[in-house]
Amino acid sequence: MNFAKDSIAGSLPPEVIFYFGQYLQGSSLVSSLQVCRHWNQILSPYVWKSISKMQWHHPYFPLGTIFEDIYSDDGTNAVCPEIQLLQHLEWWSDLTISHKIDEAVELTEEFPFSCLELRHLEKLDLTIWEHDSDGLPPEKIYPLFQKLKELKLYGTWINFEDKDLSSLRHSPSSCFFQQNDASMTLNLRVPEGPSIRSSLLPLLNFPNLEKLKLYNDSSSRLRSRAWRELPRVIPALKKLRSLAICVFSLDHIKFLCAPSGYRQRHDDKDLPPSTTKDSNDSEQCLALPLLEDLEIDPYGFLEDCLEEDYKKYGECLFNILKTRHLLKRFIAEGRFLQPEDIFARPKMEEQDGWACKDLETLLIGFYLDLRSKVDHRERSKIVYRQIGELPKLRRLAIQGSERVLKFLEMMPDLEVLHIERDSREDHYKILPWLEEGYVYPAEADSANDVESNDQEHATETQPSNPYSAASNANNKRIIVQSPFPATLTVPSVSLNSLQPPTVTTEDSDQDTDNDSEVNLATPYLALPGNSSTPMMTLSTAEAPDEATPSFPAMNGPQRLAACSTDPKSKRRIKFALAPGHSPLDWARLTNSGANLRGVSTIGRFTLSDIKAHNKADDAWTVLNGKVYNITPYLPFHPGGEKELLRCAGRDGTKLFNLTHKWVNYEFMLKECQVGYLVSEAPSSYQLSA
Amino acid sequence: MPVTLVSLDNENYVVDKEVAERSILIKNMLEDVGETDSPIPLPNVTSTVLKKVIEYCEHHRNDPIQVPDETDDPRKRSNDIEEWDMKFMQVDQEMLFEIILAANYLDIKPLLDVGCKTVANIIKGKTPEEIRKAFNIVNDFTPEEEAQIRKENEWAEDR
Repeated sequence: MNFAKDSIAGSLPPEVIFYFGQYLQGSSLVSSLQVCRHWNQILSPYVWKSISKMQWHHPYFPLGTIFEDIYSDDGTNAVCPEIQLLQHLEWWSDLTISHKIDEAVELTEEFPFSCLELRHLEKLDLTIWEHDSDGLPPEKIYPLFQKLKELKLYGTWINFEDKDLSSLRHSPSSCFFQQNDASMTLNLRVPEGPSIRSSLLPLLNFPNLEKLKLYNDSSSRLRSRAWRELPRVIPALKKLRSLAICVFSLDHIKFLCAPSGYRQRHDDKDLPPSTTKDSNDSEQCLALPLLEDLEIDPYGFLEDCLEEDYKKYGECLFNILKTRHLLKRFIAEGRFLQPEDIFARPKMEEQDGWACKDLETLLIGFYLDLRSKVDHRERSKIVYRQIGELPKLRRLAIQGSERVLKFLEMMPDLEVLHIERDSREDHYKILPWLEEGYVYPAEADSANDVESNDQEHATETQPSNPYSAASNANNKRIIVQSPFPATLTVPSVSLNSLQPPTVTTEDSDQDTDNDSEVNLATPYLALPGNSSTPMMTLSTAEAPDEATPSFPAMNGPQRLAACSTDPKSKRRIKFALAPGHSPLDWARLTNSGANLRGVSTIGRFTLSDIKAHNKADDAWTVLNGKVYNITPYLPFHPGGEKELLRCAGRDGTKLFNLTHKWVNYEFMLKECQVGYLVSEAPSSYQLSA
Repeated sequence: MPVTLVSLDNENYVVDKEVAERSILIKNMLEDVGETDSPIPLPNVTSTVLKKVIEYCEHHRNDPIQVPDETDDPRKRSNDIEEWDMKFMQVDQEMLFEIILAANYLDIKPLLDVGCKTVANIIKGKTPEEIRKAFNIVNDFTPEEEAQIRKENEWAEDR
């Protein structure tokens, strides 16, 4: 190699190297940094001049040293580290700065102006400790983050509305924005003194905000001031998906209700949720149309209002549940509510039911008991009907008698259930595990408890076969509490379903395989795999109602599920299964490792592929996008082979859902899955079956 | 009115004032001294380089003066060189850097830009060693230092 001593490139004047440095990017720049000391010295500022989102996420990005580096860079205009940094970061759309502004850095007007460069910012994590009460004029800062989707601000911010900042010089007034991972929390702290105003208006500067948690420290002043803006401010945050608010008056939640004249969609009932979400033409007039997560804490106002107001409040909640089909999580205080306030009236049309079929968490502390004149059976009907129609419900808290255990059979996927009996004083106990993310450890208090559980369980949910046992395996916590010392009474329930596996033939119209849960009873304790038994503590002081509520809506799945204890419902034909074809036998078969698929690998199939498999000796079907070979299951189907063959060779999802959508087919048929359904496309391939 | 430029090796070049004023240095000089027909000495530029520079200025004599755009993307791109400029820059490496130096000295920003873009394109995709080789630069880092720099700046490689 010939190192010419007078190599021009090696002795280029710094300004020339600096000049061509601006054309270097990425690996070229990093390589150039390693060429020689001269180049390294001159080019290193460029490392910081154009930082992209991808680089920001690089594991080696030197987060902690940004400011030091910028500061030690003796570039020409090192006014203050923040400004320079912000200039450099102008093009970021995703920025996390955790920085402390303190006495060391003079707060200048330039700071907010240089923030202007952050207009592409979507995510900001900023800690600001103002060193005197003037701090940063927020009206200059808030508007900077128009594209912000996530905001994490720690620090003290001056009130927004007071134009005359000097009047606030020594006031302790501040807005305190704080955000945890999931949501942005706005705590407004209002000091004593009439001149200070607090405002929610700053929120208007975050039009892209998706998560908002708005609680305050119970200041009565807020009732009349900031919170009065609530109905005005929150609806403007149109992209909000998650909202948690405490409210002081009914007016504060009215905006969440559908306006009069709003028509709910009915046609999306059997469609998968994705299509439901896309069709939003009728949502236009709904405030916060994207809302998925709603938490309402009626702070105080329910304490001293009239029954009429509860009714209105309940109507509000009902309206919300009725119209928001995207809702996944709903929490509202409602201990004084009557069920008929939140649930559809018995006489109502079917489409007046809840729209939120995707609801996963429902926490209304509604008091499901029998105090008023209305026939409690009627009430139970209402409640069962509505809740039973929420196939995705995973968490439920409810107050009332243990009779609600009947829900279990309708909700095999329920993960957390909290039932609290008559305990008005302690009604908040319902919520802690959710608010804190804490689940009560479920303990079996005594053997008696367990026994009563098992009986109760066996009776209520008919876990007479491995499927239902498995389908309840998700039931990790079931807590039934009573404020009274428990007198253990085994609920007097009809135990007829505890009979050994038999065949009940009932006259009925149509049927399918959910009967496995209803019909073939095997004592629960005899089941293998008891480890999956839900833990359950039951203590009840009250002998349960002898009459099982005659079950609700004709179309409610709970009606079907409960049919074994309800002599009146005779919808299903029970077929005699050949010996050795009980659900238990099926469980053995699936666990035996035998190949039930008939194919060697999981493949992708189109509907036309599946069409060919429509015979009793070669039957495939599709359930929610998964393709199953149901041939081996045919003799096990409690509803009969013929019924099951109805969905052979085609998509059986709809029929399945119509008959028994609570059946845990995924578990039962997991050994039979042959693949996934794909849309008709030339690229799709088929594996030989 | 023509202007006479004198190179380092005392060669005279007579060019139009308009062409000469592509160089901000010469333009400022002419403004300072006013109307004059005395030759302008350019002691940093050899005649071969000056010839190239004048060729460039002749070709771009009618270009509008560049106005720096403040709102521009600070990440400048090196792949937008005009065809004529590209051809013009197809010279040996020494000449390339001579032109860059001259453009820098004479303050002809468009020419400096083109030169630097060309250099950046040469650097693109090369390892540090290849860059040194290409530009005859002596490595004064220890291998440890070099590795350290690489590690510290690894994040900057992805764009």
